[in-house]
Amino acid sequence: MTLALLNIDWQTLADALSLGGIYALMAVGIGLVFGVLRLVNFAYGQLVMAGAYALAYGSQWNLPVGVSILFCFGVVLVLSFLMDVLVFRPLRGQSPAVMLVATFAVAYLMQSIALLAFGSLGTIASSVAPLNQPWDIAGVLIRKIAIVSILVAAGCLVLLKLLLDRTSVGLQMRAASMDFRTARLLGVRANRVIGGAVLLSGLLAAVVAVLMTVRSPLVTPSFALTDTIVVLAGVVLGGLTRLVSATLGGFAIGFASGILGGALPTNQSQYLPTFLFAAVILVLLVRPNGLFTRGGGAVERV
Amino acid sequence: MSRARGIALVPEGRRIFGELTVEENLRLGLAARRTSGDPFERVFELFPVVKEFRRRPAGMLSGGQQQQLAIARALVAEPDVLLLDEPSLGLAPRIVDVVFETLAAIRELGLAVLLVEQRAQRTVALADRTYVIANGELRLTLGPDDAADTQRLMEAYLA
Repeated sequence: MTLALLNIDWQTLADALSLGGIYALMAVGIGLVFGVLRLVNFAYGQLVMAGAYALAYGSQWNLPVGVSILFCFGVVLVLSFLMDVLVFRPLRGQSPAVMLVATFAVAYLMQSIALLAFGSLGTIASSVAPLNQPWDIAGVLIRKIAIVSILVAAGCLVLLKLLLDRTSVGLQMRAASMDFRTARLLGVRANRVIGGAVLLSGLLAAVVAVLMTVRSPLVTPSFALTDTIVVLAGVVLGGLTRLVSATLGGFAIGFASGILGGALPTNQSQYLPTFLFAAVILVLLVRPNGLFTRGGGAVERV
Repeated sequence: MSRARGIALVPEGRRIFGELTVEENLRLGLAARRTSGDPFERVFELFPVVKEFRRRPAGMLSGGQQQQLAIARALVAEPDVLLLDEPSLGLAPRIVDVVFETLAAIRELGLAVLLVEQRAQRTVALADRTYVIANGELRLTLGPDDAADTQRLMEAYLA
């Protein structure tokens, strides 16, 4: 069974949807922190990498899968917390350029540490690999991880939406991302909303680490690096200033890479990023504020 | 910063979160609240408009309604001192009347109100004490009886 138009089969479609879901989670993770700090965290991919190493070592130590996953969450959350306390908080008053360069430095630092500590050859996270087995659904073979990723991504986004809409810290985070100064004047605590956003984004990075490690169990120091760059492009493509548009941008670019990756002949798949970034540039020329944003700012009422 | 000290601010230009609902704007005011009880009862009484439109996006309100919301948002924190920075800025004259009536009502609630205003005559009439400050220097102190004394007001302004 195939979708005749682009010669896309169901497996490719499911893979593209799941990659879209994973990228959407990364986009939310980046967007949450951008919202409250006006800072693009380039070290986001390295959080995912650290989580992936946790899973890989978990399986080397023959930990049960559940414990490995917990270990992964622990590592990523601790690193997110440290990033907040050691980098974001001291630099919060600095110019955006300083903070941007700082996150670059953190990214390279973490990658170098991984290189020194774990070597460049990579470690295999074998314990989570069985999720890569295909399921037979009405004669169509679909990898389990594709379906799991789609469900997990959807679940995370729904939970996050509930948290942002229904809790007071969620409301404060939304307000802080619209107008940080006024939020603070009202008594909203800066450290609380920033810490909350950073930890939430860390949680999402841990989820992404699990899903990505199942997709590609070989963990190297540059794990998730390319994905992060593609997601950043997607986030800008969708519109960085709103969480929804950033998420949609992340999903769109993940879905597009999945479909293009499936549609391009194997010997041409190296050109995939070229097509993606050309598309990003074209879109931004037409809609510089992002694909999924509404035009015009707030209207002053009299 | 205002949290522990019982001070709430109505900022210049209202600073309403237009994309949030009216009620969400009010709930943000609770961040600095130190007491318990129904937080919105008092402000809904003072500002029926805020209650009526509480489910709407605040950006849909008129300027005057937004100003009432900004004051309500500061009041839900139950401050001892309320600071207002030019609450009549950019409002139609009829709405300015509403704002000043509200301020009088708020004063009756027993909190200290510190108001920075361009509308000199109305402010002098409302306030117990009015200080005219120019270039950071205290020029003149006026009482409510001086409101009719336009000559003194003019001199204070133009000196």
